[in-house]
Amino acid sequence: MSDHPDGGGGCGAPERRPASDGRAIFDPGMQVERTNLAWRRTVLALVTVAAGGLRLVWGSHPVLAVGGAGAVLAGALALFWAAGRAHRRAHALLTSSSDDHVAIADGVLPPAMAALLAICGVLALALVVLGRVPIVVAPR
Amino acid sequence: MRHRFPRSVYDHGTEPDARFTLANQRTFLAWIRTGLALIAVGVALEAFAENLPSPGRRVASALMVLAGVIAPVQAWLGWRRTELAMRTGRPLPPDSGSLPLMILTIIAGVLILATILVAQ
Repeated sequence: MSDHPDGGGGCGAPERRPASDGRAIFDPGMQVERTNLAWRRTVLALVTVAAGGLRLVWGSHPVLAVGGAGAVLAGALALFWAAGRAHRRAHALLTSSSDDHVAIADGVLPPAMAALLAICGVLALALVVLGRVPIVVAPR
Repeated sequence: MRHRFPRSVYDHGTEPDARFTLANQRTFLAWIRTGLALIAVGVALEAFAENLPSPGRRVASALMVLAGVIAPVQAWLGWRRTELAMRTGRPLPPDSGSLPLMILTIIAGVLILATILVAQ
């Protein structure tokens, strides 16, 4: 078996294929591109949940709502930018090198993302435990 | 030589195939989105399930959100363990870190079910 997690197709030595627009891609499994998209959808989900939280507690805790959502949005934008930069850097390194064992991983992004989500969770947990989550009553 | 953070990972072993590192990152991100979903569901349960009596509802909600706080911690620890194993050529670690999450969500689910049945 090939040691490519997916998309390697069992070809022994890695090949650098040109993409349809003529630029080289790292591998046929589009690993770099898929990882960048995974970062993007995770940040998007985080912003969506923060927007929902803002909408929910806006009436009862406006300062907490704006402060919390603003902090999450700032962190999410920073992560979006940093992940995009890491992606472009990894793409440049991998398409210009004939070796697949290249130092591309950024060890700062994962703990930053984990910390941002943990802070959101602790805020939500405090609201739930203290009974401060507004009850949304469906119109009858 | 410039040290990369976290040194507990990058000071050991050699660079794995870039594809493995990228796959490890995507697994980490999948756990992050799982944690996000747990937080959202926990808060939604408290906000929207007004027909559920409160002690059961609030405890279940708190357990869900607590699982959502543990998820990113577990995600990062798992990412570190896997990255280190790949760098040092050891077998990949078992996914034992997700056990607390499973237990918490099962307890929350059983609690919601019991609360619904008692409220009938």
